[in-house]
Amino acid sequence: MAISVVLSSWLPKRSLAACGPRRAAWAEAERCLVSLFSDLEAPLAVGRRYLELYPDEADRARLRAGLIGPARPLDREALRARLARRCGQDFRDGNTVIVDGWVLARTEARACALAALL
Amino acid sequence: MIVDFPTFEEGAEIETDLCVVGAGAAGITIAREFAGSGISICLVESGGLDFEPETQALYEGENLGLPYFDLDVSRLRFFGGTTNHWSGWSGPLNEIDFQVRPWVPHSGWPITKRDLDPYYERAQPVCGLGPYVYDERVWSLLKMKAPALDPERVAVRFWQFSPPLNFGEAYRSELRKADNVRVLLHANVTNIQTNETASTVAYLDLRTLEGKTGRITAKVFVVACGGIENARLLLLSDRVEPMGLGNRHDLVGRFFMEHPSIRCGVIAARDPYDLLDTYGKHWYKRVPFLPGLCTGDATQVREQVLNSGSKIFYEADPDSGTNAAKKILNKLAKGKMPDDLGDKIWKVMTDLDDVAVNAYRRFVEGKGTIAAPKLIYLDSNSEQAPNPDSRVMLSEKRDALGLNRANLDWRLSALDKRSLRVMTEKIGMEFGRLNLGRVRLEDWLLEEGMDWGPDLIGGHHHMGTTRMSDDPRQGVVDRHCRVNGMENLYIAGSSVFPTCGYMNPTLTIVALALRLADHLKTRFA
Repeated sequence: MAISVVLSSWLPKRSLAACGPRRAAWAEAERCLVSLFSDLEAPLAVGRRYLELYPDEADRARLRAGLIGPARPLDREALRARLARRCGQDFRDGNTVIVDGWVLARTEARACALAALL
Repeated sequence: MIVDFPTFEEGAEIETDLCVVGAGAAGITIAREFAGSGISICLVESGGLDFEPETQALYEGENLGLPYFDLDVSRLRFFGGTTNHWSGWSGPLNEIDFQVRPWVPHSGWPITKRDLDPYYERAQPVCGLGPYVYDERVWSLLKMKAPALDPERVAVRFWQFSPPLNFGEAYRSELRKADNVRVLLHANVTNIQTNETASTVAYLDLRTLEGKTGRITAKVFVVACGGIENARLLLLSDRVEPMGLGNRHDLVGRFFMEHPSIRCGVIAARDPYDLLDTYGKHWYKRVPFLPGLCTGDATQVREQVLNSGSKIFYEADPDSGTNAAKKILNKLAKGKMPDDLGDKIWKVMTDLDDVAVNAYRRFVEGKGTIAAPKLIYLDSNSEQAPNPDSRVMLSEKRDALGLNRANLDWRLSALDKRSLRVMTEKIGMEFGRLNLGRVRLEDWLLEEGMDWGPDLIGGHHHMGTTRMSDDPRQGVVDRHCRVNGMENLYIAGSSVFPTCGYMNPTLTIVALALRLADHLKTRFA
């Protein structure tokens, strides 16, 4: 479940082909984010549960903007570092959620939620 | 000297200066403090020097509340008392445990941690422990780097372990040799007899299981029979006070506290070996120390919760390659051929990662082996809030001496459960912040109701039933452990704890016994 472990992408390449330059950048960033999960089963379960608990956050664009920021090329390592930093800050600030009993940083729970929406 | 009451004549009257009832950790400690002094001591013990089923059966009683150990299993009734099965876990209460906490009803001791510190320090060697250090300073003693936990959220406090010291064995010879100490075995106190105004104890009635009777007169009496039996004996002594001694305000037996012990969370560790190395047992000058995690004081105040503590334990895969390799090596070292050798070799061959990790740890890093951790979890030792409905009371059933048995109605409150949840969440936050892993709360802890799951148990810690307060309406004994309103009756043991923190009680029992002994010395001076 930890975000720090990186594996290969899972989004089909053709999803990029249909995108304009901005859309392509978003899609690339999303793929990049999802690729940070070593195994998708647990994150998807957490993401779905998070969205049940916080249904008003079931908004892909909003989650994406909150997690990734403005659409721009972002390599995987930079995104990993950014999310890890924000997770640490969440834990420091007490900005945590309990999803299926797990004490998670809001950021990582939202990352799981975004993965579940893709 | 050690003598057997059944060898006395029927109706014997024994005179002494100080009579201590109960030869457990508290009673033996007080007797030792007076050994060699000019004060005559009689240490009265129901049992003999060894376990006897007939005497132990006097401890039988019913559990009316939460599931709990059988009452005749949770304590021992012979010389040495419950230290005969003590596991050695030790530590002092924290400063905050002594304070009045407005969010904890009935909290606050009439003494402070600072008052007790000198006695804790003296209690360390009595209990077979090392230096009086339990906080962050232990890391430097161990030459280890302290984890960077935020102490406002989660503090580290250590346990020390006694070998464990069996007080009956350790101090028997000393008491036998002391001319002024008489240990009276097989003598059951059946009644504390007072004067007409119940202000002074005149004598104790004694009886053996065979029916022989006698009495003890003394200037001062100390009841030190344990957290359940202390209350029982006061309640049974109702000839002058119909509600029992010290019970004018209906407090005796109430406020029974335990340390709820249960798995409260599991840990998905980033590096299980590193985590278990840090939070496992360490040795300083042959004394074992174990780091524990507890709710930081600031969090207790802010979240209005109790002082909860936890250890990090793990379950190893019994079929791990490391376990199999250890079994093979142990047998070979004894010159024997292991059973099921083929099966064990197969386990080693199919779990080479685990074997390699542990071989490296052992032979290169000089660390202990940790066989394939299957599950790492938080095991609680949490404070229970004082609750007047959680209580020891007299049963209508009677024991072999004709005395009403004790029944226990152990109850927990919503605050107890919420406190444990807050601690587990805070540990989860800190482990996340330090990227040590993620913590998952147990399902029962997530539920709002009073369900504690099927595995709730206590620590054989019986506390609070003759609580300490200078206000007779709030406590059975005063700050000197003297029964409020009585001139010469004192109580020793964990029954006097008004609140119990999360720490195992033996060290505090011994510290309070030393303090009481000092008080009595000034009284006799």
